[in-house]
Amino acid sequence: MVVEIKDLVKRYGDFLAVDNISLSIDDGEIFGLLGPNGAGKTTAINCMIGMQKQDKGQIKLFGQDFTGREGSIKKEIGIVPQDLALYWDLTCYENVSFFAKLYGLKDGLLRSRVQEALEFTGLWDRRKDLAKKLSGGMKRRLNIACAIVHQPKLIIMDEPTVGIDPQSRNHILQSVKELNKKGSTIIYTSHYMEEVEELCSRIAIMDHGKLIAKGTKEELKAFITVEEKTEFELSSVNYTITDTVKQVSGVKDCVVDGSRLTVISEKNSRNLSKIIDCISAAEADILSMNIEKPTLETVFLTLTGRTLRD
Amino acid sequence: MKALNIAYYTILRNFRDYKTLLLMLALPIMLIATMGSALGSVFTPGDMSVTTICYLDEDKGFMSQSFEEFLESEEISKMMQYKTAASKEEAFELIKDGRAVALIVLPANLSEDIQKGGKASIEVYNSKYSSFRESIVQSTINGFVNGTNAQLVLRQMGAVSQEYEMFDNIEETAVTAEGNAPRAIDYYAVTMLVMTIMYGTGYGNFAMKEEKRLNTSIRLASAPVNYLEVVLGKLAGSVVSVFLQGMVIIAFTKLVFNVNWGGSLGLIIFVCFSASLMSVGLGMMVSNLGKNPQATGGLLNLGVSITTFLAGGYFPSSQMGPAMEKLGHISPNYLAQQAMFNTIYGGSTAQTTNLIITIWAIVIAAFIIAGLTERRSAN
Repeated sequence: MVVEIKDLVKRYGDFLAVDNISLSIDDGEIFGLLGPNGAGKTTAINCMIGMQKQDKGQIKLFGQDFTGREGSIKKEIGIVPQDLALYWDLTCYENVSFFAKLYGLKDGLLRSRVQEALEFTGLWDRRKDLAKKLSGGMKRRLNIACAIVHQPKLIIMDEPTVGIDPQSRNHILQSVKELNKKGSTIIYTSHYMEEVEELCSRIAIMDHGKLIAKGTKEELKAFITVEEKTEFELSSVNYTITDTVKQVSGVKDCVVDGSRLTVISEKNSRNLSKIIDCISAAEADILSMNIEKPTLETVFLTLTGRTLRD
Repeated sequence: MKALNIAYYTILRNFRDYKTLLLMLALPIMLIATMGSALGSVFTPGDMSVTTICYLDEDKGFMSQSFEEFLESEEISKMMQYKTAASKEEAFELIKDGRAVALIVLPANLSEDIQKGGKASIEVYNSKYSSFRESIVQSTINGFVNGTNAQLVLRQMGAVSQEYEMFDNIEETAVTAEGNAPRAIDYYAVTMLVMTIMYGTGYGNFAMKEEKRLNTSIRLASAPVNYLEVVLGKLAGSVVSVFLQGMVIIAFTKLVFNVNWGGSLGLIIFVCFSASLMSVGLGMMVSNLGKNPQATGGLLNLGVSITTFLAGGYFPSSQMGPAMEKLGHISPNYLAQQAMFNTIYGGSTAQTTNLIITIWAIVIAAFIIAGLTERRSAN
């Protein structure tokens, strides 16, 4: 277990920022942490890296209690903060080199790791440029290079793709997968649900400081799904078709609207082939078909009552 | 090692901030050049108001006569006039009222002691704080004493010598107006150097707050580096940045303007370093006491302008009356300026030491307060 959090509580005066959360993250996972603004994600992360002291609860990293001062544990953590954390008047090389030295890297190892990090993020050719001269996407990549130069086992990425072009975003997503393949465990927070869907094996959703759901993507979707909706575009509609489809096991409702047939079934009814048989028997051709499945966005909306960008 | 790394990159970044650097280097050099030439008349001995001293003669011997002739000589009377005091008490009153800057006492039996070849001394009493004028008095007396000593040695060696020859000797070695009093450019080189160093409070102000602004504090907090190492690194980087800027000003003014930095450059450099520590320490302290670094930065800039003015940085406070001169003593600039003037123009070593000790006391106090408030400010 790389991260183990038990009953974590953090208050700012009367405001309860993190309310008794517990979670664990396995070695080699890409773990998604979702929540609207002010949900408590960043506070939880800050406690996790020792930036803030929790009021209650226990944090274990790599199996050891972490109070925020253990240098041996800190050496294994890399943080990619949401707001760019760079020195604008240093070059890319100097930025990465500065942070690498804080992790005790020196001489040949320092040089090779800095080069590796800059090559990994596609910035080696821009190494002599001042950070302030880079484009938005490149700045984001440099933000990542500074976090991974010491090859940490746990990388915490807080909104690493905010406000950048699709090309840089794609580069970063590929980098995350690559880092994970190399053995790093990753905690990933994002406002972009499709990124989380693509990258994360397990997800936790926070709202108002509480952990309101956690599990795999499928578990979370199953958690909120009560019915399944299938839409057919047909060549011709015989109105008696609705009666026959309604006879199929698990079908709750069937509606015709022009050439479109919408069928609502109970969750996990596995009746699609029988519905298609009914349509064929009515001598109608299926022009297109759409099975509507819940997305993480739907899960999030259902659980928090808000969209992720609210 | 990590603190050194932080210090190195802090210096690198400070020197890449060309806008601030230009302000820290070009502005004072420009001011030294312009004020040094425009206000030159203020420093010409003939035009400078004469310094008044009290003189108490308890000796009444040949030394009294020599000393009075010395004071009345053309070269010295350009700079100083003396009032004869009947007692020390009367003289102290005059000093207290600002009507005289120092009391010189020729003690009883001075001539006799000198004739016997024994130890003798001329007493000089200054006010509590040493001002620029008091430095002139001190160095003038030193010149007289040096000349007397040289004369005695000559006499012991069998040379024939008269007292007037002794005064020639003094004039040549120490008390010419040109050699022992600063030209305008020499004066402003010192005051503008100190002003530049005091603007180093800006580095102290932003040292730690800047990490928060740049959001790099989160990286520093998550890295395996002790908080104290971070603070020490930032502090060292800021102090060295200010100090190096001071060194550039000294080197430039020496080479280009031929400014007189005296013979004890090591001591001048040490005063610069002490003042750099004081400035960064005060900056850190004010930064931690306030909440908004922009606001404290503005306050510090204004503060430095005021302390520079009070210490006579733009115009000698001795020319603005005794009240202003006394007020100037509360300025931190005054401590460094006066320590440098004393060092360059042969002022009292004891006073220079006291000034440096006072600077270090401020350094210690500023860092204690900054340290006590740092954590509160960091959170």
